[in-house]
Amino acid sequence: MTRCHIGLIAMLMTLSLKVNASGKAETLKVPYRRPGSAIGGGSYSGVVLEAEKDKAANTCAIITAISARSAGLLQAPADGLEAQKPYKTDYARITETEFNEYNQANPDLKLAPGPLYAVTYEVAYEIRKSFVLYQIKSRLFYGGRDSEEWYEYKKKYDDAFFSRQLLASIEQRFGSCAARK
Amino acid sequence: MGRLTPVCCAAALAISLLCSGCITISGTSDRQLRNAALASPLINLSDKYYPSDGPQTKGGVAVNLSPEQVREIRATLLTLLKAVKQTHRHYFRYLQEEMGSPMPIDLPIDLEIDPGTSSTAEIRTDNTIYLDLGVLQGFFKGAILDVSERSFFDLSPAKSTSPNESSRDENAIVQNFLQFKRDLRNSKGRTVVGEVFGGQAATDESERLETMWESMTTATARYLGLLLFTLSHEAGHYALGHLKEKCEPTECNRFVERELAADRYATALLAALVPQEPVFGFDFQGNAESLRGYEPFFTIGYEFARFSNTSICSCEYPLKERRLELSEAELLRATKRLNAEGWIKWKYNTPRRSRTSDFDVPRFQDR
Repeated sequence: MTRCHIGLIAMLMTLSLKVNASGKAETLKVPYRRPGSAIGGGSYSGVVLEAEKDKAANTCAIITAISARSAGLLQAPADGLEAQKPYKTDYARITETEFNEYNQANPDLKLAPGPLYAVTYEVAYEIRKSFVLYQIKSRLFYGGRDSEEWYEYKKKYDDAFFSRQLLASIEQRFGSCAARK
Repeated sequence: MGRLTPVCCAAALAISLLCSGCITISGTSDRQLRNAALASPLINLSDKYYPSDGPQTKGGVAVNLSPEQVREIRATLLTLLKAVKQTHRHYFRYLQEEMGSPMPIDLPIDLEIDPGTSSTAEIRTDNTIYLDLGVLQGFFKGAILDVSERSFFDLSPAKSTSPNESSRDENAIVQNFLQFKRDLRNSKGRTVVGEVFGGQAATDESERLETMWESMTTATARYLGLLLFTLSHEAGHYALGHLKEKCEPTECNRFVERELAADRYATALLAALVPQEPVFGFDFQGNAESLRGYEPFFTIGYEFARFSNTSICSCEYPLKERRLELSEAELLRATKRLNAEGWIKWKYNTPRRSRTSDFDVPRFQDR
């Protein structure tokens, strides 16, 4: 194998990381701790989550984060979201600000101006011993300004960018949702 | 073979002369003491808390440990937790009677170390005791400072090369302890005192080393006592069902009751654990009182762990002087009960075990 071959393979591998077809989920660990009894007072920080509030707190964090993106879950159980189960959303429109942020962060995978863009998410959470693991997959769609139809975006794009945005939004809400009575 | 014969003959002659008392090796007892001091859990634990290859702070004392180093410390603590759990299992009927409260036979408690510095030592509703690394290092630092106060060997900050800031004084003492340990390890000559202490060598070297040995033993006992009391207190919250209650700012009286009950449980449990000799495969001689932990906890541990008096639910902890006093009273009560009514009466004979010894005390995990 020549140096040229190795260089080509390396380049292809780098490019493949940016391809949406991988369907790879972005993950985020959000730490929490259970309430406890201490032997002396300490300086506490972080989210305290009671075990019986696991479902309610995570449902609250996920649904409010999705709502903030003007989207909703396709199937939302009345008694809250189950752990380790993926939930799909409808289309969340990408705002102009987000569009510009995306293009700035991805100069090699820029989205063309003109059409509208929207993202659908697949969200799941899992309670681990000291953190909640959130997993999000994002799919990009585009549509005409006068059309209500959305078409899957077939070119390469950075799906992780959109997943990370939603993850950050969930993390931001997690603390206040856990503190709800 | 021919060359070995004279050597063997000389060795045999030397041994026979030694046995007959014609030759005495000066410093042999010093070396034994040196080796014993180096085998002390205090020295071994200092390797874990202050590894020579660890990252250094400005004061020169390692604080940020690697995950592997934290795992080693956790393994040590699990050994102590095992002893607490076994004692509870063996004596749970005595503990029930002592506390006037029903208890589970087993304590299915796990232990984790928080890598942060939030001054946390607590059991949470996931039945896990979380000990903050800052608290553990504070306890250990307290034990070394304790040596410094009671020992003949000088650990005063004046010997340190670190800047003279008041907050660094503690670190300077730790640094000097670590230097002392290094010197002790590197000593190879005829006597330990001559090498380690140089010009400070006393007239009676054996006496000095014996004092050192006693200081190390006391400090080790006090350090282990701190940990045992902390673990037992947290185990007490589980055993007494406190984890089912919530800490509410409107119910501070109940909060205080829970804390004092956990102190009492810890003292009663350690009253049963400590008299078993030797503890952790280490002879603590006259240090049983320290091993019971409540005294070093309230006099050293509380301060060095940087515990405050306010709980997470804004309730005030009972004053440590009061906690110390009540723990002392509980020890007297518990010991009286154990002695008067007999240890065997209280022992719970579990059918799953087939031990020949009375009490399965795990050996302290040396390096």
